[in-house]
Amino acid sequence: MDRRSRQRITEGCIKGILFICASLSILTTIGIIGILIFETVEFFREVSFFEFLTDPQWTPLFVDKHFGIMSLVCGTALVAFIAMLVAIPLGLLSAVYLSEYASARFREVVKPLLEILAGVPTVVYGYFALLFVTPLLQVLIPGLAGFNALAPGIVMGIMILPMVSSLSEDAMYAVPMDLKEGAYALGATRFQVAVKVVIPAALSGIMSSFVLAVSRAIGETMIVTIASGQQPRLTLNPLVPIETITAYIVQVSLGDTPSGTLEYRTIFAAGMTLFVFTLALNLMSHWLKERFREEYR
Amino acid sequence: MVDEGVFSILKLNAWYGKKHVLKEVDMTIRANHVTALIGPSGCGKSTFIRCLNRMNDLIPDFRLTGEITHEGMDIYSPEADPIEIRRRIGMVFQKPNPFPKSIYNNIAYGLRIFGVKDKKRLDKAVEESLKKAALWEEVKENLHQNALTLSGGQQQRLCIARAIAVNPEVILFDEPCSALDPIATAKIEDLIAKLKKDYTVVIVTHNMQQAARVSDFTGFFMLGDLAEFDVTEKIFTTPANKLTEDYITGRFG
Ligand SMILES: Nc1ncnc2c1ncn2[C@@H]1O[C@H](COP(=O)(O)OP(=O)(O)O)[C@@H](O)[C@H]1O
Ligand SMILES: [Mg+2]
Repeated sequence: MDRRSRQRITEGCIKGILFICASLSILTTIGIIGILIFETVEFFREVSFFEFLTDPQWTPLFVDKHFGIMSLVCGTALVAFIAMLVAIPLGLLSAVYLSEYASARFREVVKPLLEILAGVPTVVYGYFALLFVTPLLQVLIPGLAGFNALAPGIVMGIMILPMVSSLSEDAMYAVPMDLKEGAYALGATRFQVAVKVVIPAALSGIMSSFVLAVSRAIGETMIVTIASGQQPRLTLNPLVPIETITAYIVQVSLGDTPSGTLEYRTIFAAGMTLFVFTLALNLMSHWLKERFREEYR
Repeated sequence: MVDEGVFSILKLNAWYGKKHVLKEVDMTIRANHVTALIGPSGCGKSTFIRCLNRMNDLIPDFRLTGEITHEGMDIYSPEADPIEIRRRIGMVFQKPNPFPKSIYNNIAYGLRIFGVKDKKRLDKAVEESLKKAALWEEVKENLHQNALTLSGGQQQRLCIARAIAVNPEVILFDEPCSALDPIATAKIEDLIAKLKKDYTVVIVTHNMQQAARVSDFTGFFMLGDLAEFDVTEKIFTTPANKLTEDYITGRFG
């Protein structure tokens, strides 16, 4: 064999290997979604879609079985809502501060610091909620249960705050200087420029960060598994134990439910529900960000 | 006293960090006249004009010494409020920078931040400013259209209207036509000639003919020095400084 054909074969091999690597990750994703769909379909052979959406109770592990996903959806939404109540205002304020008020030096120091905060393991946040925030809140709110939606919601808000702040700040920082100068030249104050020029101009980027944060909040698992209890409940009361979709999946996965049973399949139905929500939110966030690009090019 | 001028600038020096970009500049700018500033790029024209309404305050390591008085008040004294100064001394930039809002809201913006809410007053101000900026006829049917859909020349006239709307005494222009085609440029030049009836105008331009056409006084900057400042006609016919002559005859720059 001459050198050139040998080289061609090596090239071909390398290309092949790289292709396999790339395919593998795509195939894994397809596989996961495939299993999710398959098990979900199996689940709905035994439980009607109507019951799934309308039954107020979720008790697959008890003798009197009910399969109403809404109580899990409700718990998930409640915690996510509390988290956003914390993360959106604080995240936006800190983004405004970082992009419009802080000196370049300060920003250089604080931004990486915030990203480190985002890297704290969620199990730490979980125990922080259970062992520190809940007892603290119990002093203020006497009726608060040991497991509840409030403390994990607040802590989750703190956890996703850096993400909201960092992504919103990116969007605000990208607002062209000449636009801001236009407002300053009319006699606007820094605050007026931030609120009336920068935020509106960066709005789609900011909204996109909010949506991504919601998606993160409903997919978050550890904090709620640890601190919010395991009682699916169709309630908007943040003071009592609830259960989220993610916490339910953990509960069943860790238990001794045999695979192939209906009880086992509930985690796929729950997982599918979660997947549909996060996918929709991520697509929405992406769409918002793309729209922002168009406006400024 | 007649010759006091609206601005008197005394021994102005300016730095970005350690970089000394304006050196001992003295100038008197007269009310209801057009003053043009010319010179090669990088000589400090923008820096100078941005000192006049304290826009340079926004640049972190900018520093200046000397004195700039506007209507007898030292605009860099501790009592002077940059917000108030910028309202009285408006500015139009090199690249048209309308807000991504409607034409109407672009003009109403400046009034709204000063608390004007009355719809009638806003309507009136929008119409008057657009008329003064010679844009009314072109946009009166589409006031609620996004300003970014206008052509470059229209956007620049919108920016002029926006500056006029807050009723300033002075309007500063920093190369307002450099991003525009010749027809749009001619319209802006006409406009500037008319504006001096009501406003004091200072304009930076790299276009010598433009300076000659629109201005009453011309200052020639060179490497941070104000090399020559005089009546425009004199600058363009019998300049006192050899550098000015070389520049306006196109020998460098
Ligand atoms: N924000 C800034 N930071 C540092 N240097 C600057 C800044 N703006 C302008 N300069 C420098 O100051 C000098 C004068 O600039 P400028 O006033 O913009 O000149 P001109 O408008 O005449 O072209 C140039 O050398 C330029 O590089
Ligand atoms: Mg310039």
